[in-house]
Amino acid sequence: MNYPIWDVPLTGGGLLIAAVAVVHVFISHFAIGGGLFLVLTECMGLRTRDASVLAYAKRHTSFLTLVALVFGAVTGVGVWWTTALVNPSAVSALVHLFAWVWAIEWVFFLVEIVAALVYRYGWDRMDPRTHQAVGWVYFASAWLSLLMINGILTFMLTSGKWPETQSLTDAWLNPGMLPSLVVRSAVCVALAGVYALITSSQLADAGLKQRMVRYSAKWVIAGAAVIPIAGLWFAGTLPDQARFLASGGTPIITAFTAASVLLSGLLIAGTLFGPMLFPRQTHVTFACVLAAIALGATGATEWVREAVRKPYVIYEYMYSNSLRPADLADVSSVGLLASSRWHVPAKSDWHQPVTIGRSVFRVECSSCHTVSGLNSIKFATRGWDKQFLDQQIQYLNTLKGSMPPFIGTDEERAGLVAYLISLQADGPAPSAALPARSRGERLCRR
Amino acid sequence: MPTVIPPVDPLGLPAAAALLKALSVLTFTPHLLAMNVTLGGLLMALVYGRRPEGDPGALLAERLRGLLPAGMAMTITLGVAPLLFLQALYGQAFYTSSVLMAWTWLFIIPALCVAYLGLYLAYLRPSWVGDRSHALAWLSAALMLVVAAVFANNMTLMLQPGLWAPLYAASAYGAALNLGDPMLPARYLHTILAAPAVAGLVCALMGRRFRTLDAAWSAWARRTGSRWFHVAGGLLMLSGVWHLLALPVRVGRQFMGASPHDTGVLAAGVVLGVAALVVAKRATGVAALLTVLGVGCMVLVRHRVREYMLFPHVNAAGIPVHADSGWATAFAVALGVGIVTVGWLVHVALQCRGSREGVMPG
Repeated sequence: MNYPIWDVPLTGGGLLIAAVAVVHVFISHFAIGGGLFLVLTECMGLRTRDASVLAYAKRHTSFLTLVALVFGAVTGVGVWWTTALVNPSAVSALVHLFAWVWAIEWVFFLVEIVAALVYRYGWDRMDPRTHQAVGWVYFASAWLSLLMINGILTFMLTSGKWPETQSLTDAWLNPGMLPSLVVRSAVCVALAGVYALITSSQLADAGLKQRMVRYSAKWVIAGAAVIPIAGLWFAGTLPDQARFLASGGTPIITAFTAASVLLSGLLIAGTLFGPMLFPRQTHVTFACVLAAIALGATGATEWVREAVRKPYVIYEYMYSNSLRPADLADVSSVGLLASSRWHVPAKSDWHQPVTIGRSVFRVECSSCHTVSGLNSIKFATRGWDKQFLDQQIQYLNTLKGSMPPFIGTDEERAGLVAYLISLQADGPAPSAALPARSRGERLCRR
Repeated sequence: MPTVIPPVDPLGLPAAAALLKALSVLTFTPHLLAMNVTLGGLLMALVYGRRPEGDPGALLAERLRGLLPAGMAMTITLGVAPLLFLQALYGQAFYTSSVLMAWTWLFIIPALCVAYLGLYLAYLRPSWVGDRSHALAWLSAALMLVVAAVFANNMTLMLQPGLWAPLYAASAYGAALNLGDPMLPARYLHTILAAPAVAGLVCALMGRRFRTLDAAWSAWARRTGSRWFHVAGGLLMLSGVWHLLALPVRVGRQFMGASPHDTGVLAAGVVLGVAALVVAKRATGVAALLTVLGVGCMVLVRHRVREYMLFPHVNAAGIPVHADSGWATAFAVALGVGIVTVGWLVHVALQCRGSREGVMPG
């Protein structure tokens, strides 16, 4: 409403955010867990005076710096970038509320990058004690960076006391913050093991390979064992609505929840019956398959975390279409388009309901729905007649808990109905076999 | 078409606008310097990288190569903080212009990833790519230049509220660009020319560092670095004049006497830059210090241009403040500890230069 809306045909902007975010989570958690993995592996090599373990840790450092330093940083900025393009009002709210938290996170991130570069450079050059100290600085700053950002992420779902107190401390120390921190820390450990399996499975020395592959597998299992317990703790802090959506309330979200659990289970089983039991036989291809499963589990989990926030983008503060509950009364009385700055039809078109409806759709619906691509509104409303559509829109949040209420005047609602009906006339009805009225009645009964 | 401006964010600013502006300027300066060193260093490495073995240029390219991937990582990381403060202060303008050129703006993310990968492969894993390393480095340089152009585009488009509504009316697909703006080429050229100038200075500084270890190379590096600094620095001055003239008259005149304070800052930047050019051959360290201060002044000028351009549509000073002194103090403490820690890290890295003892036993 306040910012221009970026039209992304076919996929909508949400898919772009998801694609960048999943890659970022997968890399950034490895960057944190990988720091701990390196320091502890180095410690093990020094304790056992095993040069081959240290040589492995050194090679793994190069892998980590390649993957984590720039790809982690760039995709992190990329999440910010993409979200600001798709939902600038939400990012603006988070930036204004959490500016200091983000600034502190940046300091830790800066230290993390410098420490990682110095740690890599220091192999073969520094005395072991200093080198390990640098490694610990790297891991500590990386984890502190997670600590800061995690509070912002969970705030979007569990805003806690903030709506009443408006205190930044309450916003950051929200109910989901601590359990999510434990989950994410465990994910860091597990992903460190997953990445380490890729490098250790390529070792030529059979004895070293056996030790390092099994050692890496232990990291995967240790991390993965904590995730379900902490995950349940995190689930306990979710708003009822969010829990309902993830556990049967919405089929697609429930399916992703199930996929997350199944893929995590598959990762544990694959690690246990692969690298753990047969370390010498573990091939890099198998390690990459495990990494792909971990990526799938990460993607599904992050998608669920995003999806259960609906109808909000920031819980109880801003709906997914950037409208705020606080503005509901004003916008409803003045009118959505009269309140909008960018999507107002020309005055000469104000008497045309379809034109009004198109503008209403862009402001109010296009953050989640495309016209005929992903989450297509044309498909979702196929066969609905005018009366049924109007009823659905009028009671949108009551009938569909994951959607915000319709905000606008009666004229704008009529315009939206006219526009959606006009879409049905644009092409053949996808389900022509089912009469419109009976489909509507059936959905009503649900 | 009327000018459309998004409203101020209802959550307000987390601190006084003046503090956030100061932080914006202070954090942007190191980002700009890191960018100049990385891009300019890459251009120098490319120019001298094909010289035969034993040639001082080849040795310079060799010494620069190892630093460039790290330089790029630092440039990106140092860019995060100014971007944060920019959004807090001028989000109304920044988000709008970003959406208008969404696809081009988004292109920066894959472009930086590919540019870094190119640098990493070309300079840290040359055996993996063989003869293609030079081409990869050129690709990285080209992508960096494109990224700088995209940034210049957005940073100028965000200053033109009058253009936003017509551009959005023409296309809502995020395909707009600011190519008709006379400020754009001047600003882009001014940004880009700073890179070889600063890199030349870094080359001269490297020469100074090696004066006892390798006197012949040291002399060559100081001479060559100074030449780059003088040529690119001179052109930088000229492009600065062009940039000043390309500003709208009401803005440009502020820096030509209408505002004594802003004119003073611009004059200080020019004097520091000229002084750096004059002393570069004899006192490289002093020239580096003068350059850093001069860049700081120019970043302040850039900030003031933004304020004049956006006024009265977007005015950070008019945004309500919801200050949280506890968190601001926490940031100050974290920044202090962070700077000390980075200082220690750089210290231990410099201490072990050249040493091959270290962690690996046996």
